[in-house]
Amino acid sequence: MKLNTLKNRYQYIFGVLVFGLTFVWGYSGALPTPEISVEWKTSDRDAYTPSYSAQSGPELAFVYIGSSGCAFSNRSELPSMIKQLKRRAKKEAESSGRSFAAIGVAKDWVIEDGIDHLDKFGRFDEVMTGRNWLNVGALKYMWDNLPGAPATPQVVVVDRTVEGADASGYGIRDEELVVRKVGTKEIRRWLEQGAPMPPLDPVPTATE
Amino acid sequence: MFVTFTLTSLPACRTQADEESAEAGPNLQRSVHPTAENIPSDEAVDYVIPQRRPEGRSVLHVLARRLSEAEQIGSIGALEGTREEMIGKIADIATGADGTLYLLDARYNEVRIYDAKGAFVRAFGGPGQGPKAFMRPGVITRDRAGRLLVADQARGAFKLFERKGSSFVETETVSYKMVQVDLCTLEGKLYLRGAKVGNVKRGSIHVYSASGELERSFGTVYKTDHPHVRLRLSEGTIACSEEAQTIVSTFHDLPTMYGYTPDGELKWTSKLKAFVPYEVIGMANGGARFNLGKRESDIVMGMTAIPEGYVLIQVAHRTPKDMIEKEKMYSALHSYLMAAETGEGVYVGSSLPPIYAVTRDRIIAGVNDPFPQVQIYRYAHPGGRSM
Repeated sequence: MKLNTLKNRYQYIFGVLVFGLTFVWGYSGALPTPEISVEWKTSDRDAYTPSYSAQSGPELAFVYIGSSGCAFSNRSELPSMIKQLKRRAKKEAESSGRSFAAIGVAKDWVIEDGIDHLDKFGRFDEVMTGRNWLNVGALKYMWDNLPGAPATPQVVVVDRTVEGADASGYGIRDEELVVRKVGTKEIRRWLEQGAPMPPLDPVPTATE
Repeated sequence: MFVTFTLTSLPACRTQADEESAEAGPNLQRSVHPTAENIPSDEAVDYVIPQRRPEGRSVLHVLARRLSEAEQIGSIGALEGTREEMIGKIADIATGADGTLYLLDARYNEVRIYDAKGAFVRAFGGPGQGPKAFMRPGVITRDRAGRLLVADQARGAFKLFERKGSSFVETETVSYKMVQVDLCTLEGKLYLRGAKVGNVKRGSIHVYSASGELERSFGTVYKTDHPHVRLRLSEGTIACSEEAQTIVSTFHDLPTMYGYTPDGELKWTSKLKAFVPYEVIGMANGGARFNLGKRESDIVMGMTAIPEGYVLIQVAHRTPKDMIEKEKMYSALHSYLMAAETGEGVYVGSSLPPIYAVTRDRIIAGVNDPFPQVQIYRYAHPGGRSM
């Protein structure tokens, strides 16, 4: 575009003015502008994958408890945090000679809502949903076997022994609490700190 | 005891099951609380305690200054370490006469014992419903006989433990049908501060004998016909002063403190001048709405008896952002010192952390963020009893 004509110059100046005004207007916040975030799709290479098998012996279980109806369980940052913590817990299990299981509990009334909620958090070896606070996972990890704070979201890591995975008589016994974190702030803080856990008892070797 | 508000302060969704009133009053109308009826005027109380640094030479003033100048000398708890070094979450702490600390861990549901130097001795308890196990332990106190009393909020019961040699044995479990209780002991009696579900009008302080039998109830409750609001706003905290022979009681959400004799006779009433309660709406359908994010507000977090007849009160000041986002429990924690005998009080300041126990020369504080840690401070008690 040639600016040597008066008309073009005015058009040019007008365009610059409009652009500048709009920029200042938007930058100052006076003009509502949509927030756009761009997120590159991350590789699923490091995503947790269940082993689809069970072996008798010591096992470390990572339990996530949430709900589709709980605002804090639906914070946008939470799925990524839980996925990272699952991987961290699995490493801890492997380094201590234990098998690992990731368990998802959604204390929704509607099963489909609970499954949709858990789907955001990657894969689990086992999921439980339905019946709200009477959900068997909620009862086990917040009320009955390992009672604690009845609140979501929550992460519970337990050390336990799997029996009879060779189909001679299944059972899970001696379940002990390793870590419990309640609420998004505690979970986030724990992740930021590297998800430290108390050292696990060594797994007896075959000769012991 | 310092109320950790384990659930209400967490960015988490919690059950309402343990807070429902047993009553549903007929013909309820929408109401806004707290009402003027429940907050006495400045003229109607014995002392109004301002929020400004005290200038004076009385023991009360000197002690307040000494507390604010306390120096941290040690800590217990680590971000990463052995099981004993990593505390799950501090719910409460009691002290023994020899400096022993009894820490109530709200995540591992156990009592952890540390000696006077802060070294771990042993732990007992664990999650469960059986003997020596806890479901949701919230308060611990130690009586003159050396027994430990632990209130299990989920069970609605407190457990008594007696020392047998080097361990503690559970001797009694006493049920109470109350929410959010606090405990203290005086002259062999247990004073339990709580609103009784279904019968909150009986009083807010309930006296139990050494064997766990309920003897009587007294104490002010929040006055309203709305059952849910009455139950919720009647919750509070308590401290027993042996030297002053006084039970000090306050509400979490109101600015007033009450001093009672061990028999329940009201001795004095005091008030915090700068306290701003948050608004509670009593709904016509019997429910209640808590307008936590509407304005800045205060909440009494805890009270601790101090030797020679004093009580420390800590009030959390919260902004709407604190209450909605729940990333911070509070923006400021204000401490006040009161003479338990008279109710006279002074402002200590906002520099002290949450305090669970105070001995003649130590302040036992605790924080749970960034990781649970007991902080031990040294201060110089000026001596001299409260008048």
